[in-house]
Amino acid sequence: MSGPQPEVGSSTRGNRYVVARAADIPPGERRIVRARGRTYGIFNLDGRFHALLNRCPHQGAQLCKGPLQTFVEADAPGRLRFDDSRWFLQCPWHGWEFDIETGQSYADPARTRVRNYPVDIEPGAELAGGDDRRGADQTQQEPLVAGGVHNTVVSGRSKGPYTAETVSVSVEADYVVLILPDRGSKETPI
Amino acid sequence: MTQAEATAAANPLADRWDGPAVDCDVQVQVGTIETLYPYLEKGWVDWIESTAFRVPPSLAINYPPRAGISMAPQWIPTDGPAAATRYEALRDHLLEPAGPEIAIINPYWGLDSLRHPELAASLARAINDWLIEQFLDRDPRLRGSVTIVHHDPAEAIREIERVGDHPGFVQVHLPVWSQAPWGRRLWHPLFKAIADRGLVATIHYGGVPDGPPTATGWPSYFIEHYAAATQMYLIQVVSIVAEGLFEAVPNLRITLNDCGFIWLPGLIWRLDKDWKGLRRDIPWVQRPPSEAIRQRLCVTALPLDDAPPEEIARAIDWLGSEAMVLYGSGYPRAKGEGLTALLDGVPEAMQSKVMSENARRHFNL
Amino acid sequence: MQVQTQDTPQAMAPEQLARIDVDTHNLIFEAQVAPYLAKRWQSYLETFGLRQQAAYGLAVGQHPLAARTDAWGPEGQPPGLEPAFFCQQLLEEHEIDLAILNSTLQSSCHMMGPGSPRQLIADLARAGNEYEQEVWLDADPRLLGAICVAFEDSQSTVAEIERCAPDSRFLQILLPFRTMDPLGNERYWPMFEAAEHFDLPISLHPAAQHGETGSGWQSFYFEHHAGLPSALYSQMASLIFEGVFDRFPRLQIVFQEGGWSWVAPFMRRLDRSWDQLHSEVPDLEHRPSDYVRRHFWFTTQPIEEPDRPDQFDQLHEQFAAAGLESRLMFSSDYPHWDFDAPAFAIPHSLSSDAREAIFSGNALGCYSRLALLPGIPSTP
Repeated sequence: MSGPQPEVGSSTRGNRYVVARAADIPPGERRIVRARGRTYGIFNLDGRFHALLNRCPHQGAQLCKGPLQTFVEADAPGRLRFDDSRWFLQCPWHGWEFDIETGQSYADPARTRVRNYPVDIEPGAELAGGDDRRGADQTQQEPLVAGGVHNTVVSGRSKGPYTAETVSVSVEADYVVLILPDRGSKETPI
Repeated sequence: MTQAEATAAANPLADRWDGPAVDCDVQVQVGTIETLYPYLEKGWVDWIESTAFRVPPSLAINYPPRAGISMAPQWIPTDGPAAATRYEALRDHLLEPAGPEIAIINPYWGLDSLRHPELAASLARAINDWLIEQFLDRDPRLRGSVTIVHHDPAEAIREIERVGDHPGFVQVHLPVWSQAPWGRRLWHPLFKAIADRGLVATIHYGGVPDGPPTATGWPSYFIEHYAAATQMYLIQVVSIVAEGLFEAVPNLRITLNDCGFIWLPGLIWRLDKDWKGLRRDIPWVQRPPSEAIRQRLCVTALPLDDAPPEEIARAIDWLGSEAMVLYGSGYPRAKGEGLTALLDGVPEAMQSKVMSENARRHFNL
Repeated sequence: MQVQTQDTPQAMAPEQLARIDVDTHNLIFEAQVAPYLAKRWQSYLETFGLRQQAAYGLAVGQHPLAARTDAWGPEGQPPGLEPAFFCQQLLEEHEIDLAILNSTLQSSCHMMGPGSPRQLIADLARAGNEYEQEVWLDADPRLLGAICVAFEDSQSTVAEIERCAPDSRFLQILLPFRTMDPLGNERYWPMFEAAEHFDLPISLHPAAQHGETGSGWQSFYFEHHAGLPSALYSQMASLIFEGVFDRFPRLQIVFQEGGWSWVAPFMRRLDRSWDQLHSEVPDLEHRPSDYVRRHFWFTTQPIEEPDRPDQFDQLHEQFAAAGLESRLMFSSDYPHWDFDAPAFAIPHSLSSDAREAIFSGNALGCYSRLALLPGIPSTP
């Protein structure tokens, strides 16, 4: 995975983005979300969430709109095997395959990859409940701008000139939190 | 000019290369069918005489006897034996004057256009026996191509097993026009038999398909047929890659003969590009196709089609391997400007590879 | 049929066009054209369907309709079905000024070939062209078209060319890569005569007979795709050596989606073959490579991707050194899966002159009929 790994419990302001309610992305589904001026694909693979930058390193296509497929392999002609423990996202343009878990391309895993990011599931109670991890001015009454297709998101602290619908955080629901590298830190180059 | 004088004048290596040379592109000719009588059962000789069969038609389709490409002018006989029909001619025209350490000879006779399986198989055996007795056993510099008829792969395998261990044979000749693209699984046992005997599968100009000889019908003129033959090498390479022949037969080596190589890098790049997006279609191809091609495929240098030296040099760089190009004189066919142009284009540090080392490695000489 | 003049707020002269996309695909299937067919053929299709060469060897592609998976419309409409979404996803998003539509009726589905009644195919072509005018060309002045013809039937082909040519929005005549005979064959000459007369290039595009080669059928879509140029070798050789261009000196041929890296080496092979074999075609007036330089055009998609970026520049140099730099035209192949985005596909290492030629200048040279159009709006 690229970028610095936030430690659970560390103070990580400004780089944790609530992008959706977990229930909005059931298993097998995905959502394209926006954060910091870019779009990302959030995928729910059997309850595990994966996030990839929505941009193919080849020609800039919206990679996360491509089909997600089980891996097919063959060690010889005629000996096909479908491996449903491995999933590849296939770019809608040109068909390059990217491992959904690592972002590495099949064709050239060392040098061609798409950036991927950690994702956490946070209970609403923690997000809205004035936890220090979210920043001092976060209160239950403060609506968070939640993610959706082409909607923008805001971290616990910062808000921007977003045009999205706003969603009040409910303490009963779980939320998908996209963790981007710290602002100003260099992301591992592709 | 006598034959001897013409020979001296036409020596492909004269004054241009005095290092070791392996000539990978030499043809010998059966000539008339009587040549094969000593190598056929009497019953077949009688059969041939009574049916008045003389020669398979695809030889003339691919090499019209008096067309410019069929015979280089200096070898059109005025005296002495017809070029390359007898060992003595080969020796006098090529081996002695040019002095290659090894010459790999191919006796293409158009057997692919004979559909009768027994007639074709018996003639293939006869050609192989003729080549052994009249050429390979007479000169340690000679190596040869096994002739098979691919319409019956089981029979072809039997023939490879019969003669393939003769130390003179280094390759099996497969025509670029075939009954089905060479990568198809039905051919995999044939290629396995070839590779298991340490032989190379060499795809050469010639052959007949089951349908029209192009992707778009029947050409009117020979020049169309001949010039556009490149398309056949293209689809054969694509088929071999796509069908996983390299994966199915891990010790297989392949040569492309008589198509030149300047067109090939573009195809190699295209294969890699398409594989990245279409791998799921052919998942046995686990690595970019260029890898297998660069390791296991070679191509004889002619024809160069008058490409200037800088284009030849660039094509070799584009190929991405110094091990792929093989010198061949093309004797006695006319393939245009040859050795001079080749050596002008190949970087000096690579010349000994092209002239002999690549061939020694590729054919395990 | 009416020639549409457009009232445009910002008409641009052809020279001001910055991006012309010469290969795009609007989706036209039997279902769309059936209402335009004669009743007899409507019911024929319902009962007997269409028998085509493509049925002899389907190489199942990796993508439905061979399309980008993100090109399905907001309500699930198949890629290339609707002009509005087409214009938004291609012209607007990629700042393309003009797009030539190569209807899938001919370009991908290849419904005009042998295997079905001659009159059905002729009617299908006519119906397809009418549908194209009504639903596509009338929809947006930035969309230009290609005439579908039943190319194996010269009589109906000529009639259809004559019928459609007065509509200046038709820029070319669309054929598949593979024809029953190589195209230089004299039975195609009436079509060439009509094409030349109306300044319509004959434009070849890969079609549904995926698998045919000079040695049987291919097994995989990958083979079809990597082997795209194969038929073009024969088509080029045939057109040249049969003397088509001596007879029709203004005729132009476009090879779409067939690649272009093979052309310069093939020109050399054609010339060398001719040096040795010209006695077979003694009436040919010029060297083969001269015909390529004067009569053939090529499109960029799928763009070549060599191992190193500098090799692309070298490849283009080789192409230019062969005299072809003015004959390479940008194409995206929208909405197909191997779509080339104009901002990324053409390397920026090329000179700006070369890029400008590829993006618009060369297409303006190829499609002289663009000058007939009253005014073309720019993409805002």
